[in-house]
Amino acid sequence: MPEPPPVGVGIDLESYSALGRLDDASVQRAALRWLSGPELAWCGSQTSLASSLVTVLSCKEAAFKAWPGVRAAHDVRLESLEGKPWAGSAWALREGVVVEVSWRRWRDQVLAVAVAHRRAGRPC
Amino acid sequence: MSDPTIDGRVRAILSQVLGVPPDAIGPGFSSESNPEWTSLAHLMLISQIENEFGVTFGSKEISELTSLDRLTAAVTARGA
Repeated sequence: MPEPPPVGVGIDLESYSALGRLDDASVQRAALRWLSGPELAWCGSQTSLASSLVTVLSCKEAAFKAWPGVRAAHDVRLESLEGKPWAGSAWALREGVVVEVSWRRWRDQVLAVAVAHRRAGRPC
Repeated sequence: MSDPTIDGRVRAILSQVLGVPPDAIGPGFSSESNPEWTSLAHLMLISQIENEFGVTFGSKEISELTSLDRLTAAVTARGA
């Protein structure tokens, strides 16, 4: 049975140096404000909170752009994040729409690409 | 009319987060007129302003606070 066509695609490009003007306390505060428990846990397992925060927020922005019906990027909750700081994937699910996000780091930037499908359950 | 103290503190945060000289931030300064004001920078701005003034913005409101004037008005409305 063929896969249903995507209901949306989203892309986001962010610079890691964008947080360079903020001190550690500000980065920590932003992470607590904008990330969910699983997202925070993933960031905590990485070498840099600032870099991993940029990665997650870029993934959320790409998912938001791909996902019809989501009000804002900060409302996206990534259910799972896998991978290293330079590349990885994540997914989110709500109301029968699954959004799969892939990211890749290139020098100072992260590129996140999201594809939304109408499907029940976790993507394979 | 906006509170000059609130206005100045909001400008200082915009300057710090966006890397824009304070004297370049005036009435009409917005995400549309400043390429440094990205979606990522917007979230950093909001969390910095919430901390500075001890307020919390609602999810829908956050998406609309895309200018100096709107940010200042939102903080002023909360009596911060």
